[in-house]
Formats: sequence, C-alpha cells, structure tokens
Amino acid sequence: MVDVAENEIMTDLIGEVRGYLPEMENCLLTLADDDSNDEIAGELHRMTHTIKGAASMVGLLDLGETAAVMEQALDEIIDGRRNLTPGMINAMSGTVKGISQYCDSVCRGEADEREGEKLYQEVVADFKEVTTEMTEEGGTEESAAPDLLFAGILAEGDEEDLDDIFNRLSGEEEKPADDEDDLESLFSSYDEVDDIEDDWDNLAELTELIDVDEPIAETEPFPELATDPEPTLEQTINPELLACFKEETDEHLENISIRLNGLTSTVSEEMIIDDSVREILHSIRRSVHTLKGAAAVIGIDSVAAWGHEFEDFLDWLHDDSAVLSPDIVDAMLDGADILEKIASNPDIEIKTEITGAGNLFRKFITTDTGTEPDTNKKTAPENTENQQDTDSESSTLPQECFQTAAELEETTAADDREISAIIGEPRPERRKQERQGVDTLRVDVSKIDKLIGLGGDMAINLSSFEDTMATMRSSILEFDGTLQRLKTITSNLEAGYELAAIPHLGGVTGSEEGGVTQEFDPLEMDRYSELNIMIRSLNEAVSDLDSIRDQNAGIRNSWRRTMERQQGVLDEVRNTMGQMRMTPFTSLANRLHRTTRESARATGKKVRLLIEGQSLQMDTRIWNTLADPLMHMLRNSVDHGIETNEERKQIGKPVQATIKIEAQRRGNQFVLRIADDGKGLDFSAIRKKATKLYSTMDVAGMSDNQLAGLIFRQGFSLSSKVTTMSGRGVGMDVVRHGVEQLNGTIEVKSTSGMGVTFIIRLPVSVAQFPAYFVRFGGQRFMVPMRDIFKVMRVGAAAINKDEFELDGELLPLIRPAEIMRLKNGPGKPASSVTGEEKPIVLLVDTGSRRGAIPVDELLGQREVVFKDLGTHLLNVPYISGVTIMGDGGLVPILNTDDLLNREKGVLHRVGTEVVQSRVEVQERVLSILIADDSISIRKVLANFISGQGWQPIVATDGVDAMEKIRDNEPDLIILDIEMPRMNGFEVLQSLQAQPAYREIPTLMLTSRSADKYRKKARELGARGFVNKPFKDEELIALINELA
Amino acid sequence: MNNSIAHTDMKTGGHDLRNGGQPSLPELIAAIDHEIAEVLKLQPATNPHPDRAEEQKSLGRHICVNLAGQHLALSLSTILEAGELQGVEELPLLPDWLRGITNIRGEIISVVDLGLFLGIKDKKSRTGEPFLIVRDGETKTALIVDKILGTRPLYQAATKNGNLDDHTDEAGEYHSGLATYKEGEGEKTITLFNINALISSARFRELKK
Repeated sequence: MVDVAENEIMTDLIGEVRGYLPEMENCLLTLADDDSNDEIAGELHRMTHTIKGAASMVGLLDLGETAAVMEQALDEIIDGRRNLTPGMINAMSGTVKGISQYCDSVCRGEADEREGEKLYQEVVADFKEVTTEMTEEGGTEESAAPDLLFAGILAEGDEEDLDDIFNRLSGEEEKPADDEDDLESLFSSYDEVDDIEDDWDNLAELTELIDVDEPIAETEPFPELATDPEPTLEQTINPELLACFKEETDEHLENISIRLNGLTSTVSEEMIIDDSVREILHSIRRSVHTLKGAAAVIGIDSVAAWGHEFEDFLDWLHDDSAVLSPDIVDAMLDGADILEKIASNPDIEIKTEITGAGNLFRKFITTDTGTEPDTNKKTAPENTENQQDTDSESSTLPQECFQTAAELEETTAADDREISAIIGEPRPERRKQERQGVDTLRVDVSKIDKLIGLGGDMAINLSSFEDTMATMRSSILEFDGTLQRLKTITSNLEAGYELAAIPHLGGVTGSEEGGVTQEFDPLEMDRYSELNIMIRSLNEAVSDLDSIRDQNAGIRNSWRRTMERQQGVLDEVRNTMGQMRMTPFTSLANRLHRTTRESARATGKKVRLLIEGQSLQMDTRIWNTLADPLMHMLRNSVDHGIETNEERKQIGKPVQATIKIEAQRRGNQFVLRIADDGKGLDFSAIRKKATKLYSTMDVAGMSDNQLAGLIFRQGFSLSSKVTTMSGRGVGMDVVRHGVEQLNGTIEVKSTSGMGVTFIIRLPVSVAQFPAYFVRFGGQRFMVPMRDIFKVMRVGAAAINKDEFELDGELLPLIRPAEIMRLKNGPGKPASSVTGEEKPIVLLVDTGSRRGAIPVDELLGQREVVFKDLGTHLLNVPYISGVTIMGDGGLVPILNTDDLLNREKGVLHRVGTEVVQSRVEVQERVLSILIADDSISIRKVLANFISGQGWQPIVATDGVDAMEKIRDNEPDLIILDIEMPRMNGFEVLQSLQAQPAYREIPTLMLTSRSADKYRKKARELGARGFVNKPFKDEELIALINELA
Repeated sequence: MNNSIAHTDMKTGGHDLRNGGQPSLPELIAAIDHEIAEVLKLQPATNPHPDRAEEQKSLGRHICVNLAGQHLALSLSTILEAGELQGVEELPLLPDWLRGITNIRGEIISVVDLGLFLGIKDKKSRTGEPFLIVRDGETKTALIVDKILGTRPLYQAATKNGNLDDHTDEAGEYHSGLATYKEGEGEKTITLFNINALISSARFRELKK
C-alpha cells in the first residue's frame, strides 16, 4: 500500500488530519467540562479512528498507531469500562498536540522514522501512566485488569457492546437480539466485517498488523455494507488499489505455496515441530496475515475473513501444536488453495469448501487441546463444543464463532509479552521491509516491450547508418581513383608541357612573348608562361585534394569506431531489456501444485508433484502460454494416467504417485520433462481408437512411438468418460498448439505400466527462431527451420513431377511460387532458375503432413524475430508473419502448414475477386540493373528509371554488376562498355555462360557509336544498343520492348 | 536510408500552408506532423478562428490531398502521421489496391493505394509518393495519395443541396459532404473524405477476417 502513497496523497492526508485537530481539541474541552457527554466522545472517537485509518493507509504508520492508542482508550471510555478522568483528557490532549507537531514536521519534510516513533512512545507512555494511576486509585471491576487497555483483549460479551457502539456511531438502530433469520443473512457480510472490526479494536493485533507494513482497515464502509449487502467489488474498490493488492497477493501466495511445498516433501509422517519448521510456519502465517490485513483495507471481505480463520489455525500450529503431520500440511494446503481462489475471484462461491476447511482446522485444534488438557486452554474444549453447536445451527457465521474460540484462547494466554511488543520493542521487520521495498520497481510489461521495440528501431537505424558508411567508403575509393588519375595527368602535364613552355628551353620561337623574354634572364621566375602557372596551381590543388581525402578517411574511421561502440552498447541494452522479461519457473509452479492437489482431491488419489529447476528464468510469455497446457497435462495425468490407490497397492507401487516436472536449459533450448509413474499409455486402446478414427492410415503397422504421436491429434481422446477435469478429446491437441505457439515441439514417451513422459522443447527466445532464408519466384521468404526435416540437392528431373520420392516415400511437391502466384523471372519456369545446378529441395514436416518444397535459391540461414502483419492484415494466405531485416526491409515468413494443407485450385479465405485482381498485381515493378563506372551517369539513369516507376539497382563496374545480378536477379540490365575490373563485353560473355542469367535482357548504353561495337555486342548476346546521351522516349521504348 | 519512411523533423515551424508558395513534400510533411500533434493534444478540434465560426460552422483543420485530379479533405483527427513511401513488401494473393506492408519504426502497417481502392486510378503508385497513416479504432493503415496539398481550416459549405460534387464513381460512397476554405479573396470548395467509412467498409476489412 505504501507504494501508492505518493507525495500528493501525503499532503492531502496531512491537510485532512490538521482539519480534525481543532475539532478534537474542542471535543476534549467539552469533555473536560462534561465527562458524560457520550455524543462528543463518539465524535472524538470517530475523528481519531479516521486519522488512524487514513494515516496507516498512506504509510504514516507511527501516526496511525498513535491514533490507534487514543482510539482504544476512547473505545473503553465509551464502553463504560474506563472512566474519563482529567488525566485521561490530558493524555488525549497531549496526543492531539503531538499529532499536530508531527504533521508540521511532515509538512516541512523533516519528519523521519525517529520522530514518529518518539510520538508513538510518548503517547503510549502517557496513557500507560494514566491507566496505572487509575488502577492504583480505583478498586473498580474495570481497573482490576490494568493491562487490558494495552493487551486489547476483550472480555467475553464485549463484542455485543461494541456492536452497539458501531451501530450507534453509524447511525444504525440497535437490532433486537431476536432478529429474523433473513435479517441475519442480510447482515452476513456485515458480520464478516465485524470480525475485522474486532481486530481493529484489538490493539495487540493491530500493532502486529502494522509490524508487517500493512495499512489499517478503514471502517467507514461498514454502515454501507449493512444497507447494501452485496456491493460489486469491482465498482467499490479503487482499481489502483486493487491492482496493488493483486500484486501483493501474488507474492504472498507464492511464498505460502513454496513453503507448503517444502513442507509437503519433508513431512511424510508425524514429526515434532522444530525451530526450522516453526520458521516455515511463521513465514506462512506472516503471509496469510499480511494478505488478510491488505484485503480488509481494500474491502475484500471474503479474503479477509478466510485469512483470519486460516491465520488462527496457523497461530495455533505455530504457538501451541507440538507436532506436524502430513494431514495438517494437507489442511494447510486446502486453506492456501481457498485463499488463492477467493483472492483471485472474491465473489467465487466456495462456501462448502470454506466450511469444510474451517471444520478441519477446528478438528485439529480440538483434538490437540483434547489430548493436552494441561496447557493453558482449559476453556477451549467447551468453547469448541459451543462453537460447533453454533456452526450446526447457523452456518452463516462460522468465522465469528471460531474466532470467539480462538480469542478465548488468546484471552487466557494474554500476557505481558504482547504489551512489551507494543510498547517497548522496536519493530525491526517493518523497517526491513521498507528497506527492501526500495530495491525493486514494478514496471508494466507493455512498457518493457515498447522499450524492446525501440531498441529494435535503434538497431535498424544503426544498420542503415552502416549502409551509408559502406556507400561512403566506396565513394572515397572512387574519389581515390579520380585523384590518382588527376595526379597522373598533372605529372604528364609537368613532364610534357611545362618545360616546353619555358621559351628558351622549349623553343617556342617567333611569338611575341619570345621577343619579350629575350630581355630577361632564363632563371627569372616571371618568364614562366601562364600554362606553367596553371600547371603549378593544378599541382597545388591536387595536393590539397590529397590532404582533404586523408582527412575524410580519418573522419570516416572515427565514425566507424563510434558506430562499433554504439553497436556494442546497443547489444548490451537489448540484452538487458530482454532479461527484464525473464521470470523464474516458480511463478508458474504455484499454479501447477494447486492443479495437482485439486485433481488429486477430486479423484481421491494420492499424488505429489515434484518440480525441479524452479529457479530457471524464462520469458514471462513462455510461462503464461505454458500454464494452460501444463495444467491440462497434470489434470490428465492424475485423472487418467495414475492408477487408483487400490490398484497401485495391488501392483506394488507406492500409494502416493509422483509427477515430476524437470525444467532445464540446454544451450539455446529450454527443455521441460513431465513424467508420471502411472500406468502409461494404453497402446492397444490407441490403436483401436485410431483404426476407428483414421480409416486411411495404416494403424496396424504403426510403432508404439507413432501411435503415441496420435494423441496430439485434434479430437483424439482415449477416455471413455468425460469428467470435469479431462476426457473431452480436446486436450492434447490444445497442448500441442500451445507449445507450437512458442515455436516449440512436444514428444511423448511411454512404456506400458511404467508411466508417461512428455518432453517439451522450446527455443529460449520465444519471438526469435532460426529460419531458412529462401527465394521463390523472385520474392524472398523465411521458412521456419522447425518445419524442415531435411534439405537436399537433387537432380532437376526429381522436381519436375508432382511428387518427390524420398527413400520410397512419396511426398507431394509444393511450389510456393505457383500457389502464391508469384512472378517469375522472364522465361524462367518456376523453381528451376538454378538451371544446370542441382536444385535445392526443403523437405518439410508440420506434424500432420509432409511435403517437398523446391526453392529457387537458398540465401542462407537466419535468426528471425517474428512480427505479425499489423492491425489490418490479419489473415494473408500462406504467410504467418514477417521479420524485419537489419536494413529495415521486411521478409514474409512462410506458413508451411497452410501450404501443405491447401486444397488444390481453391484459395483459402480470399474470394475470387482477389484472385482476379492478382493477375494485375503480377505486373510487378521492373528491376533494372545499371552498370556504369561514371557516378553521374549512374545517378541520371537511376533517377530516370525510378521516375518511370521501375526499380533501379546500380553497379559501379563489371565485377560489381555480376554480384548484383546474382543477388537481385534484375529483370533487365543496362551495361556500359568501358568499365574498370571487367568491361561490358566481358560481363555479357559471363552472362551468356550461365544459363540462369542468359535470358536476362541486356542493353548496352555507351558513347562508342561505331558499328563494330554494336556488332560485337550483338554477338555476345546484347538485345539492344543505345548511344549516350540517350533520348528518354527511345530508352523507355526499348526497355518496354525488352522486358 | 533504406528504412521505409523518410521522416522529417517534426519541429519544423511555419506550417500555414493555406495559400501561396509551393512547399516541398518534406516541408509539408513536417508541418502536417506538427499539426497532427497539435490536434491530438487539443481533441476535440478547436476552432482557430472563432469570429468566422459565427458566420460559418467550422469543421476544424483538415489535410487536403490530390488523388487522380480530385481534391479531398481528410480530418486531421484520423491521421497519425504523413511520410514518403519508401519500401513496401508485397504479400501474395492480395487485391491490387493492397500494396503490401511497410515498416514504420518497427511497426508493421499495411499500405493501401487509395486511388486503386477507389477505382479512380489505374496505375500503381511509385516509391517516393506521399502517404498518410490513418487510424480507425484498432486498425491502422497507410494510404498512398498523389499529392499532399497542405492543411486548411475548413467550413461547412453554404450550399446544402446534398449533391456531393459531381462524383458518381465508387469514391463517392466515402464522401461525407462538401466544405469550403479561403483562398486569396475567394472561397473554394473541397470534398470531405470519410476515413472511418473507408476503414469500416466490407472490402477494406476483408483481410481482417
């Protein structure tokens, strides 16, 4: 609760408290004059109570406790058990002043723990002094119990009086004792709250509550509950508080579950409770206690009431019971299950279970107290009897009756320990919890996901920058080349012309200059001609360019280093963000234990669940998706897999069956092994059922392993009876589906009579999985590797049929490009562009079907991150999702299952209209490769081509062109003749030599217009020839003709 | 940059594009982004010229686009951002108006060629053309248009004879009326395009099934 106490709330609280203080002082003044004014006392009580509740709620626990002390005193005064002496009024005035000062300090931001503690201690001391004085002075009945105030123990019968007070305070008329039954039921929720109210009146318990960092119940809703017996929880509870409560609940339920599971495995027979066990019990009790308190504050009365009852039992177990038996542990498990159920759904109707578990608790306590009559519980037996009688008479009030018994125990056991607990001892645990709270921060998973998404974007941007750097590098290299050329030209100029230009050396005679220069000495500089000067300037410019080039190269290197560092940091950030999503298996273990217990209880079987590897951390999504399949498997195991207790006895197995779940991480895989020691799969029954269900299958020839695989088929259930738990035939296929959702596999192994073992294998990262990067019909796709069982190179003839033969098995040949009506390169038959090379075939198995998919090209293997197709396209045939490449481009992920299950000639999901329109779509954008060593020509051509709506691909020379052709398979190539490394003719030759590229139309674009070049080009396979500069229309017409 | 969208700086100021000047597409987009951000902040749209509202009912600022020669106005409140079409990945067996998907800062969004969808264009749009990302409820999509003209404050057209322009084609069913805007001294009429009707149409939703 402290989590939500923000500054604003704190300021509001202080304002509210300050608002009450003058009024309280007035009340005290009035009471000083008229000590019998009950109305004023009631008013004072109300304000004190409100301060107590509000302060505790926002985390000012010391203030809450201080108010609680004063409230307790007022309770007793109103109740008539204590007189309102001037000393008492003084103590109360002192409290009001103390609270006022404390509020001032909080406002100034100076209030610390010590100050609050001091206020509390002072107030307690004041009241103690007053009560001691009163005890010494008086001989009245009330003062005979001087510590009553602080022990907070009510005498028998006080409850009724307190009810009166509450009724009075809330303006309710006092109900006559003989109210009708329906009225009782109307007030049943009231009574539950009443129990809690009693708690608040019990100062000892209150203080203990506060000790574990709990807010104190606000009793204001009390009168409303009386008038409206069934308020909708969702409506009445602040959603923020409810969310907080749920989080807190999960933590505590988890703790309870872990501790109880520990006890389940250690307590196999009755054992003495030693310190270590007591510590476990203490931890369970604390969690239950905290939950109860939190539920009461929030207003979830059912949880608070059951928590209270459960806690009483745990109190007895911790404080008074000497032994712990497996039955008691079972009872605790029942209690914890109920708590979990009502905590997750407070409106759940489980009255029978609650009554059953409550009775069980009482039975243990009464048995125990019956055998140990010498202990302090001499009143317990008859009280329990009373309580049992009451139970049978009115089942609506079991908690109250039980609580009475428990409180009576407490009454007799009340001692100074409790007082010292309140007054003297510091509250170390609360401080500890406060400190621990700072170490963690709760964050919405969607925020983490958003961060991960942004991290992905950063990676894409970085990759884009990397591409720009690569372009810059080639640009610098090109610049280098040009610079070298320029240097050569300059040195040629120097050698060839500079010297010649000097008149007397070069022999430039007869010119005017010659005449003039004769008057000068040849060594004089100004004899140089303008050409000499220009050559010098050119030299200088070249030298400058050289330095600029070096400088640029330096900058580029520095960018590269920065980029590498950035990449490192980004990787680290993404790793860390990925880890944030990781939670341990423990988060799921709790639910699995509960499912097993419930199933065991329902079937009357004795089953224990052992979980190994609970600390294993995995993505939260894995645990969430696995929860249902695992629970289903456990229910199946208990219901069908495990023999009845008698059967187990007969065959010599231990009566208590064991289901073991082992979680392991093996490299990049997460392996879950779920094994039971039941009767195993009944293969003859599976065979029989399969023969009936799948008439086309050769069931008789199937091995046990193959038969076992059938249980994952839809609608396959062996159970002849349908129970609430399992046997509806919708089971194992759902399990398989859940596992597949996580890109995992499930396997089953069984030996008759020896149990079943399921092995689930999942990739560690859910969203990421390995895939083959392939190309069909000119488009790139990812094929998840989990669907592929073999990749083969085969002879071209092997795929020119409808079926592919693999070791005698005929697999249907699936041609995605045809099925998806993708465009193929001109003249290239589907899936055979690899030509003379042996085509690659992916052999796929999706569990239900197998097939062979020839691919045009296998581009490699990638780890891909799955993304869905957005909010608009939820159902695109044959495509399950998409992955984002490093450069931000998208590659669709093939849905192999859809491809294998397609009905020939009929398109799934999309109507005929779509198919017709696809014909138009087939006219895809032309991709045109431009190979030219001139950057300007490349730019002009690329702009021109994209201006026509085509896709340009540029290559800087012949070798680059060949690489780009391989990577991109352009629809058309525009080639320059003169290019470095490999000229245009050589490229043509090379293309002709490779059947895969022979058919790509090639067009020569050159400034060489002589016929011999045209002829040569035609001979080498060029389909067109255009002279530079080209005419737009001419080029467009030619491209259209060729493509 | 190989990434799909060429985005511009949202903070570029000076976005009154009502008349005069021919701002470049990046400038326009920046200005529009800015305005979208403002509209989202000020939902529901407030009237920037209250005095005029007395004479004519203000419809708030709209983004005006050109599509196959038609001028259409789209409410700024349905538009999330504007950009230039860069990389679109085609998907198999989709209708021609559904160009495929694009990656916008890690989010996958479908790309719809509005002209082809409405049947008022027969040639596919090219790389570099402007698009608007629109949203209706959960569905987000990028609509390719021919040209983004700018944003203008629109007013209810005075003529209420119900004749929505002279459109008789399919596009007409997504028109929700006429509006006027000031240009120079005179007033011009523009057709209001209803994004919600588009996104909720059966044809558009076909692939959501």
